[in-house]
Amino acid sequence: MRRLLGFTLGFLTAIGGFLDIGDLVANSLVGARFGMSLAWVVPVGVVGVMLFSEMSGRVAAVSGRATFDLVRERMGARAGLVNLLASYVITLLTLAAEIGGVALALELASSVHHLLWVPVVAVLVWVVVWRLPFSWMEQTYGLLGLALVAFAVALWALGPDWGALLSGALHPAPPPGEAWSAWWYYAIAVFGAAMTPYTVLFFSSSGVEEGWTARDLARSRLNVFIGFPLGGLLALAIMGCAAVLFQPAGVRVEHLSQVTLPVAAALGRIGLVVVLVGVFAATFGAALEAALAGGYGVAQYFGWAWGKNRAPASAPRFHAVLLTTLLLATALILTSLDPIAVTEYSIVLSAAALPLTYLPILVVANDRDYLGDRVNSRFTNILATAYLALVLVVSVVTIPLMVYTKAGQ
Amino acid sequence: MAVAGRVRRAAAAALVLLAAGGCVPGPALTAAAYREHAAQSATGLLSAVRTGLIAGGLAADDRALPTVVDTAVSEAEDDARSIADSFGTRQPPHPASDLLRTRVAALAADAEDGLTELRIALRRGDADRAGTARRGLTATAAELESVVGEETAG
Amino acid sequence: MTVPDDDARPEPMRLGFTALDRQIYDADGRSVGKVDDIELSWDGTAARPVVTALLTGGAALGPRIAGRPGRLWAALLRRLRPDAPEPVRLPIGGVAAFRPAVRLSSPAPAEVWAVEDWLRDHVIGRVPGAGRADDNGR
Repeated sequence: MRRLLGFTLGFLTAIGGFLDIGDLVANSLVGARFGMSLAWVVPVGVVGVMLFSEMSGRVAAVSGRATFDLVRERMGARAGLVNLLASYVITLLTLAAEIGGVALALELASSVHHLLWVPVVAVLVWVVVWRLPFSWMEQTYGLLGLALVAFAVALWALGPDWGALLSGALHPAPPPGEAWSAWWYYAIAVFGAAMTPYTVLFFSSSGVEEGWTARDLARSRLNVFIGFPLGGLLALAIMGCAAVLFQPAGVRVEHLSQVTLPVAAALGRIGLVVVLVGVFAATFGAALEAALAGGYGVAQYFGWAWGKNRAPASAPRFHAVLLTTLLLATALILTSLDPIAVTEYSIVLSAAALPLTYLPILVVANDRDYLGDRVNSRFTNILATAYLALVLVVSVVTIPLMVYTKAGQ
Repeated sequence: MAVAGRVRRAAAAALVLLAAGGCVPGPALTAAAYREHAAQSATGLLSAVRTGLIAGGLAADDRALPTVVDTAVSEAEDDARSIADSFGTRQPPHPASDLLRTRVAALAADAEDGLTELRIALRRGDADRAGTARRGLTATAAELESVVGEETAG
Repeated sequence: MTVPDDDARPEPMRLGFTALDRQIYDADGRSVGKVDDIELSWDGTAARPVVTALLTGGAALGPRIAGRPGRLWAALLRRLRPDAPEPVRLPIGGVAAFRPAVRLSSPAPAEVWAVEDWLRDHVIGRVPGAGRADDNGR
């Protein structure tokens, strides 16, 4: 039973972390506009995030230290600070997008404008971080997030031409009337949504919070290797739903309401309610993770006491940073920026900043000082180096492509 | 390090300029650019109208929550309105473009009005009126589709 | 920053690698901070400078970060605490271990906790439930 409960950490990071507002929007948008022609990006992103999450989980379990706790020791104060600033800004943007996503989900359920929900959501996130024990938090949102399976059921119920979907996925090229530049731009968006840095930050820190030891290594790997591909399959289902319902109709996904329509079309009211619960849980879980990741990153850089498991009074600086982060993100979304636009920018910019997160992980995961003989295998290093090269290319081309395509128009 | 900083600053300034140049709605200088803009507007309008039709259809079949349908239709209406506004403010570069302008502007107005009508009918639970609005929107969508086809093909 | 190992020293110690930027825990296991800088003293008579203390806190970190980030950091700190704060000194004699993390042989001096105590007393500690946790950290 304990094992089963522990396994939900994998689900939380898979559904709440892998599937968040970024994945919901990016995959639906891409499916509607490009059909399944960008489906190949999802497995590429999933393997990447699995690879680097496994590494940071291993570092946490063997050394008892979170990955970014070690980044400064290995990379020095200056490189560490640059890294911290970049990942903090991206995490802040992601948090704003997730808070907006929760508010949009509540708007869909209530017809009350999402800006009115934003302060409510911010308070809820803070109360959960403040009061709810870590294990409860992950189990609640992990299990509720599984409601997003409704997208897979909906795709099945829509009765698509599976052959056409498969052939679309096997022909990676923009559909007629679409430019290569926009197609590549959204490939980066899907990639960035799958590899969001806060996921890895949260994953390694939560391993430390849960007190993983070398004996938990197998479980941590199981979480990653089962949980993340599951999230990837759901991402593909979201893309497929949009490809089936929206692409032939010429609908472009610009709102969260559109993301949920295929489920209503396939499964009716019940399905819609289930998927709204899933969207709420996934975005709320991701908001918790992003808020915590912001606090973890800063506290670990400066060596302060940190942790959600401790009494807040024993980690006041960590909680102060967390609260500030939450307030900043809330203020950002209250400026009435479109949450969907914030989401798109957050995933594309996190794609651009990926090397900053992933290079230090690779360095630390090869350090015998911390990991003894549990350092990366040659195979892992070859694969990870290939991903690092990929991520570097992505990071170089993202901004020029963003300007050239006017953010994918 | 200082050189790198300067290069970065220059690059950032260039990016801002480029982005600003790309975003500011100005007069379309050539007939081709105007047609491109018309096609983009028609694509956006088509997306809004079809979204309204899908949501309206779900409401008619009682397959969706009223709150979701209402949000989807209202958002589509807002999208149509902002596209119509931005298209209307573009100056056609040449008298020859006036025909295209009239056609797309009329379709934009139809889309906006149709979606407004649909939203009102759905909020009142008036199935007949919603049905009429959907028939109108279906016709608008078909015309928009042909505009998109003509302008992107040519 | 390396200690010269020109002659046959027993064990050359690369400070940048062994000490700098390491996490510091005190004797009670509390997270004190990172080793933000290292104090070397030379009284002019000895053959070479000796490491006398580890420095921690924002005031020690700022000068170490060159370029724009460092200047920004220093400016921010001046604004927050105008009375030119001194870094906290942890005398080298009180260090029990350097690796994998720095461990002190006694509880850390009170000034390490200045910000933490202020935040606890004025902000975080005032919120209901601040003292409750699964495992009380203190």
